[in-house]
Amino acid sequence: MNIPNSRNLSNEEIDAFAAELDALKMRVLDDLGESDARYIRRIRGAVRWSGLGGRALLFAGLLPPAWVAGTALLGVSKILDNMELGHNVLHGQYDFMQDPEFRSITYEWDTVCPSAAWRHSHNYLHHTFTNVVGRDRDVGYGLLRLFPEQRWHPGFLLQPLYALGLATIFEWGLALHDVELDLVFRGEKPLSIAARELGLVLEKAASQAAKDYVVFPALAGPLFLPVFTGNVAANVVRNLWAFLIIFCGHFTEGVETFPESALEDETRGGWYLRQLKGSSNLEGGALFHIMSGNLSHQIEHHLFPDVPANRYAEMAKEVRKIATRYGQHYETGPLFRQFSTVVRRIFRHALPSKPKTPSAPLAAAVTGLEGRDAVLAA
Amino acid sequence: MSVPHVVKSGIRIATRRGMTREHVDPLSRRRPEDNRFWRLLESPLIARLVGESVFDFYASAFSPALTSRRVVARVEATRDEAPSVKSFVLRPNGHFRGFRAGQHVNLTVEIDGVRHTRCYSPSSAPDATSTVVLTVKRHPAGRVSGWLHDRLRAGSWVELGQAFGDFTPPSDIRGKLLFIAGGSGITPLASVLRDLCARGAARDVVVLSYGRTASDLIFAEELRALAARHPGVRVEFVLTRAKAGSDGLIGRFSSMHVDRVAPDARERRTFVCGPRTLVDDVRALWKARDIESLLKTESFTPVESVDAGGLDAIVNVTAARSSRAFSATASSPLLVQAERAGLSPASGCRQGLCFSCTCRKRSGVVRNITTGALSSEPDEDIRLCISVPLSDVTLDL
Repeated sequence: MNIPNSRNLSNEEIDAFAAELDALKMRVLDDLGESDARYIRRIRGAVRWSGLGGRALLFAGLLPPAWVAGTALLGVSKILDNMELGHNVLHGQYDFMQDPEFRSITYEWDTVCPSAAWRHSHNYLHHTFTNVVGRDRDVGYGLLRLFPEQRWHPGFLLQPLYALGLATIFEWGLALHDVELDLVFRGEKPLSIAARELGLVLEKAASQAAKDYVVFPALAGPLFLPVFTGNVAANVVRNLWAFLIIFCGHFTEGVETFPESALEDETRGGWYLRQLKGSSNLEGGALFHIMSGNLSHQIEHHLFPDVPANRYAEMAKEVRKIATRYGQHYETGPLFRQFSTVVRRIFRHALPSKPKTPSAPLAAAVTGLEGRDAVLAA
Repeated sequence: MSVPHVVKSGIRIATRRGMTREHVDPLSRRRPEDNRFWRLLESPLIARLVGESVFDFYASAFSPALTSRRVVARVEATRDEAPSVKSFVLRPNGHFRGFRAGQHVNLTVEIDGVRHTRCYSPSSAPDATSTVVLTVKRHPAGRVSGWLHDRLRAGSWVELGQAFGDFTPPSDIRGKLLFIAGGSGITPLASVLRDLCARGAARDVVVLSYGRTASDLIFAEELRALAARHPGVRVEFVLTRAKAGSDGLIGRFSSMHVDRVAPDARERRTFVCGPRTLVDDVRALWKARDIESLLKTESFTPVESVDAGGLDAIVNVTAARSSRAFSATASSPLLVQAERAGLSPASGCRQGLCFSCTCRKRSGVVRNITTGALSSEPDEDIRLCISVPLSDVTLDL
């Protein structure tokens, strides 16, 4: 694997880099208003109408074309609900509207993961400790070894199969993610807390399962089975798509991981740099960006997780210019190429592997030197 | 409490041509949510499966008036009352439970993508026409009042809360009354007076209404007309900016005004509504005369002072849910100060990005230290880790 070529920056350059990104963010925040409110309401409209259309078509599900179209529409609805609507609203991106409908701390979405659990595991842990091995629990989701910095054990030999399984039931994996069962087994998390969190997951899961697998199929009467299978298929379609997009966000070839020491005395600029180096964009058209929940702009999302996602496309142009000016690698590419590097990672690191050359921040951390000094030392 | 509430039984449905017609169930005067269909929609099972916001979304495709719970109102008409004073005739949907004269309602509008809520007193009497008239004075720096004046037109929709407040005379009132109003403080008192007149209960009411100049007086014509029609009603206007020698009473509130229009003030239940200074002056006089128990007051919330004392000014922070309070300054984020005071609010990244510490601010002014933006409206969500208090603050903590 190639380690991308990013120039090491002096402390002054890192501060200046942060100031430019802060200024960009302020410009966009100052400009938020009616068009952003209209955008997220249109997305909600698309979720609602495609959901209604999909469920209506499934009620005619004895006809194969209706079943296929209904499942596809319902899948689109769930993808939009989870990614462009739910994920972004839960980040607090639309809290500025002061609309109870789009309020992050009370919002719920159409997936088994309770939004409160998601806000903890994702908004806090993943977005704060991005790509820090041992702290960011999204690095491999406790199931996969994707970087040579993760310790190998023979269990990882079968990880291509685990990845396939995880992709199929991805929403259930995310739902259990915040319960942190691995920490419970290791005695690092009290069972009582995990049990309470598990209870909340089961409660949400029960209402989701009741909706998709009991009530709507039952409403169809004799067409119970086609509606049931359509709901299962729509959820699986959503799972596969979410897995595909999310794994391309941090596990492509050109992203870096960081040791825990990277967090010590990390400046705002250092945090920005880690987000840039640890994230990876996808190229595509406007519709693709929306269907990916704008996680195709993963770099911008990680630099500005609280900025409405409909602004990432315009911000990306600026971010790329700034990154180029500071000699920083900006990882991006089309979906197929990027995902193939993810697949390669899943296979490669199923086997024992060692970091080839320590990345620059790692070298700096190891030697205790910083910035240019690290380059000189290397 | 025997004041009849405004009870409505219809939902207004917008027709294609933009006209409205009223659907009234002739057999009952019940609210729609008393119907079995609406009750079903509010049952826990349906709420679980559909949810209020989902129901409201699809229902709004038919009419903005169709909601499962929220009160929304259509603007029927607007009219100018005085320079920079405008009235809005609103027709709420069936969820509005009516109001008593003198109460207020919260009005919510969306301005440039952001919802704003303000409290206004209806100036109309509660009656069978099922409309609510809000009279709004444009404030020079008021974002919402300015928007209402410039942008809110007949045919627009707004959101309302249920009426609240106890600035209302008892329904069985028999004794003598004195109303003192400053500027737009006349609005709740106009509602009360209209209501009393409509019910034939205005036996002896004196109204003392203050305005800067004659053209600033709100409802002057209507109040004079009411006084002409109802022998029990007397209205006196006071111009605070008029030159000496003008007709009638002039100048700021004084005991002389009271003695001239209501020498029997100690026999009158008195209602006063206006700016804080007027209310304070009236209260001081009533206190000096030892008749404070006859007084009921309401004043406009003054704009809270911001930054008056700099970073070291000490303010009080109330954590409403844990019934705790602590002193704080603007020198460090509320999260840190709350923790120092022994509270343990939810928190996460501590840099304003993860929203774990998002907290409902009930009242007060805080500044977002990353953007410099102020939050001064009641009931806004703030992030404790990047907010510093600029005034006394009440948090939902």
